[in-house]
Amino acid sequence: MSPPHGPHGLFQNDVRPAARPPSVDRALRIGVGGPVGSGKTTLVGSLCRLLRDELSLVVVTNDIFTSEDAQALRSAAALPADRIVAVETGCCPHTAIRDDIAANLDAVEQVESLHHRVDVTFVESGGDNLTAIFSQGLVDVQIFVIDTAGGDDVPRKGGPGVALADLLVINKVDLAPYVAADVDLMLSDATARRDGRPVMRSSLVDPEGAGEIADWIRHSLEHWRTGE
Amino acid sequence: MKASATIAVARCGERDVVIDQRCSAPFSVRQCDGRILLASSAAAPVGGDELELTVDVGAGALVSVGSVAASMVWPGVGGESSSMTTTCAVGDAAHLDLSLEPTISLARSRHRTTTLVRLGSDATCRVLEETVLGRRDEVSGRLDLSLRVERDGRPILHHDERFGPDVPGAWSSVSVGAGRHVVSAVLVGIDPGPPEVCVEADRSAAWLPVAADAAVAMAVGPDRPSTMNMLAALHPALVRTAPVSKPRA
Amino acid sequence: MDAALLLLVDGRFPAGGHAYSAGVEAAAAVGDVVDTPTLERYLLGRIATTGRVDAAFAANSCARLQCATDADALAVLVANLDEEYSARTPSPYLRHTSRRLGRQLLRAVTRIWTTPAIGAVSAVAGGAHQPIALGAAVAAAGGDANDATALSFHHLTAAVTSAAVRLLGLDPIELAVVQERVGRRCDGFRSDATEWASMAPADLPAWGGSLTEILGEHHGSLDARMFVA
Repeated sequence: MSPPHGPHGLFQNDVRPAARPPSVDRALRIGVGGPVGSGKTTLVGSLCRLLRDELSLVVVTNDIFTSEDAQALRSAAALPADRIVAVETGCCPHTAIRDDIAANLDAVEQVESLHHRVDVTFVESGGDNLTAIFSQGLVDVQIFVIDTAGGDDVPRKGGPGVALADLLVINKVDLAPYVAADVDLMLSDATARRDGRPVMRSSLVDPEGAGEIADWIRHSLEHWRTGE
Repeated sequence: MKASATIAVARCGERDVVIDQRCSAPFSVRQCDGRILLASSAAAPVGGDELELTVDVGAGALVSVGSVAASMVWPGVGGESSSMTTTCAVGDAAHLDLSLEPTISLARSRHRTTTLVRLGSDATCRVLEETVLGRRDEVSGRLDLSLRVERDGRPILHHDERFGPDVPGAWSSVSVGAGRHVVSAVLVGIDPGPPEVCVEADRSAAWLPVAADAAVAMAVGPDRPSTMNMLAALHPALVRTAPVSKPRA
Repeated sequence: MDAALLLLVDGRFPAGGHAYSAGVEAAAAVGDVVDTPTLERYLLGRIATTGRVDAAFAANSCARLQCATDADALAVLVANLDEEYSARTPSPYLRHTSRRLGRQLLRAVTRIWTTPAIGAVSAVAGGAHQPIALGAAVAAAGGDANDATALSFHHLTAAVTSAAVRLLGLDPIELAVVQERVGRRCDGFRSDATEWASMAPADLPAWGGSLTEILGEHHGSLDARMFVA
């Protein structure tokens, strides 16, 4: 049975993210979104630790209360404090990353300008619902993080983040047995919705648990820079 | 009643000399302990009064101006407004300390206090304005404050504030809440103190650096002692009694 | 009203206004704003103080920046407006916020319009203050000082009421009634717009409130807040 929403054989557009236009010379901006508690901040922290020795990184966080996530990243010493800034969302996390991106764009440009040749800027959204998606005016590629404990029907329910994010991460696979979640079902439901876009599983209990996602970022950066 | 006082001080050799001192009733001017003190010899201001104070500090001079007693603002018979206008010119490398005793707004009075301080280049100042909104258990009248400090013709602070029971948003967190003792101060060039912003723990007073060598302090409290304590905690220069020593090396 | 001006009126215009509460978050935190009547009192206070200052600077910059004869005169006028507005905002955090909101507005506006005035305000170090940027934007959209005044009051009223809906769960319909009532008072101030448009910046209104600055500065020092100010 085909999913109620999803790709259609009559319409075939290239779903790969765009490479950097020749006129643009700046960092690759990566959005990290997903529901509350799915592990966005932990993932960003893990990615920073895996990539910080080879790449110049900065992070912009969005939270209900300004700087919870920024503080968490700073206290985890994932990056120096001046590479992590927080943006107020006015109680509306999705508005700040999707509808009115002005405050986030301002923060991204400010923090990028403070550091020499930033390679990757992470924009972490506040925890939100499944309808949230990053504006293309704010980020170049986006990762959507869901977790097994949030229910294994989430990929089937879909929504813009699950269907359209450049990378879907199914996090906390280590918890699946405890919450009776079927990871394989989640993977197949997700794959069916995503028209060939990648899906990865992760468990961040392991310090190397985000290794595959870090590799995806390296490839995305290469693509952003060279179009290859 | 219209009344005015004029004070002009010049630096002559090693001394600051009062070269002009004119006043009309109810004002009188005294020199006391290195300060110049304004005294008011009648119940003033009362509705309809227009009072003016002009202070001219010559280049290099140091002047401290205060007053003998608090100024009670009385309502006029026909509800007229009164005003007190203070205009100070401070020459190059001169210093003005201006801290009159509080203006107390009594019920049904209408009053406007306007203070303009023009600093020359390298001039410094401490200007402190204290306002009391009614005596104990009294609802104040209408009081308009205007404080503007300029240096070399460019503004450092311009803050006008209106108090009174008929003022929109009266007694809200826009202005003073339930506070009845209100202080605004501007320090320019003299020991600007902590470069960091500082908000007093009760969120009723703040030290606001507005330039590399200038700061504004604002405080709102229930009475004079608690308000002055908050200011003292922000910076000792805010509550120091004049005369001040010249800060420049 | 033209489509261009309606763009600037719409709260959905991407200028970052959704994260600005005009002090309501701090006012709610200290217990001053708790329900619709206390919110209306707060709003009336802001309209009469910072609201009037912002409207006057928007009107002035809308009218006068268009009339500057050359780039040097324009730069001088922008610098003068900038220092006069700063002098009326002693809280460094509120100054910073105003510049940030101005920067955010101009980021969108410069993609739509290019005028000498927009160019001059965009060149202000750290970002133009929001009302000065708004004035230039209204002029670029074909509006006049009266429009700039109306827009400025509208944005303040909308920021205060929508923040109260989100922070306190106040009834949005009841607040629409408040907005209409307060709006009529704002329309009364608009008779000042013509005068504001032609004044020297030093003579523009300077009404403010002690606790607006003190609580605004305190809000900026918090490491947990939902609205920028």
